[in-house]
Amino acid sequence: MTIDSRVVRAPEGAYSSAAAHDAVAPAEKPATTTFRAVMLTRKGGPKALDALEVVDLPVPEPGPGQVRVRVRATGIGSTDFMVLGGSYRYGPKLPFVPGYEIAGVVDALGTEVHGLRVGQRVAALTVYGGFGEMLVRGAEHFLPIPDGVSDRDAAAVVLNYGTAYQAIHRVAKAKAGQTALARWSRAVSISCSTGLADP
Amino acid sequence: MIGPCIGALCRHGHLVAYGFMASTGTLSTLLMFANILLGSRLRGRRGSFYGISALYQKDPRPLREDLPKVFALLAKKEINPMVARTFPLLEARKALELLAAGGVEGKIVLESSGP
Repeated sequence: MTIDSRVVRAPEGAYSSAAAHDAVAPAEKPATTTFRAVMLTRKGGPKALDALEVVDLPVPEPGPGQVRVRVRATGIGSTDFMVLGGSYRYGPKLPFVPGYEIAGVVDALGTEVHGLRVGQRVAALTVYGGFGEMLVRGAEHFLPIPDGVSDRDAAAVVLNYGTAYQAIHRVAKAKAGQTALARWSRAVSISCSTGLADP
Repeated sequence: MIGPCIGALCRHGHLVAYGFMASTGTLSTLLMFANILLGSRLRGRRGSFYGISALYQKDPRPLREDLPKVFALLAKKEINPMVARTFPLLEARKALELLAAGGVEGKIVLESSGP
C-alpha cells in the first residue's frame, strides 16, 4: 500500500470537525488519522504548479515489509519538474504526492521488517511522496542517517550527491590522480563532484 | 552542449552524462544520446549515460551501498551540501516557483513541522 494508491480528499474543514468530534469521544479514534500533503491533483505540464494542492490524506498503515516514516525534510530539485509534468518514467498515476528525496523518522513498522526501529532517523530516494508529512514504502528503501548529520543535510544529498557519487565511482570509475572536468548545470553539483572524488 | 564536452576530453577520455534536463524534445533527446554514445566514440573518447533512478528502479543495492558513504562524508564534514533556502513542507509550491525562477545558488529543502 502506498499513499498515492488510496487517495481520499477530505473537504476543507473536515479535519477540524473530526477533531471536534474527538473532543466528545476521545477514546474512539487515534489522535491523528490524517496527515497533510501537497498533491499533484491533475495532469501537469507547463502550469504544473497550479495543479499542486494541500490536502488531508488518511494515515497509511505499513503492510508486510513496509515502513511508515514521518517526513522531516525533503529535497527540491529540477527533477521535480519532470515528475510534475506527468511524463516521468518513474512517476505514479495521478493524483499523487510528489517529493523525490527525504529524511524522516520511522513511525511504524509492518510485519517482516528487520534492521529498522521506530524513532530511527532514515533517508530515502522516494521518487514521489516526499511532499507529505507521512509516507509508506518498502523497508529496503530506507537508510539510517548517522548522528551529527541533520535531516536537512541528509535530504539535500540523496539525489545530487548520490548521482555524483555513482557517476564518479560506478560509471566513470575514476581513480586518484586522474583529471576530471565537471560541467554540471548547478553549483550544488560542482560541490558534489569536488568533495566526492577523493575517497 | 555535449559536443564541446567531448572536445574537452583527452583521447580515450570518458564522458559521463546524467539526467535528462538539457534536452527539450524527443528529437533533441535522441540526438543527445547519439552524441554521447556514438559521437564520443567517433572522436576517440568513451561516452556513458547514467540515470540514478533508472539504476535504482532496477536494483536499489548500489545506492544502499553508496549513500552511507556520502552520509559518512557528511558526518565528517568533508562535503557541504550548501542548503541555500528552506521552506515549510506544505509550501512546496513556493519552493518550486523559486527554483523555476532561477538564481538560487545551492539546494532548496522543505522542512516539516507536522505530526
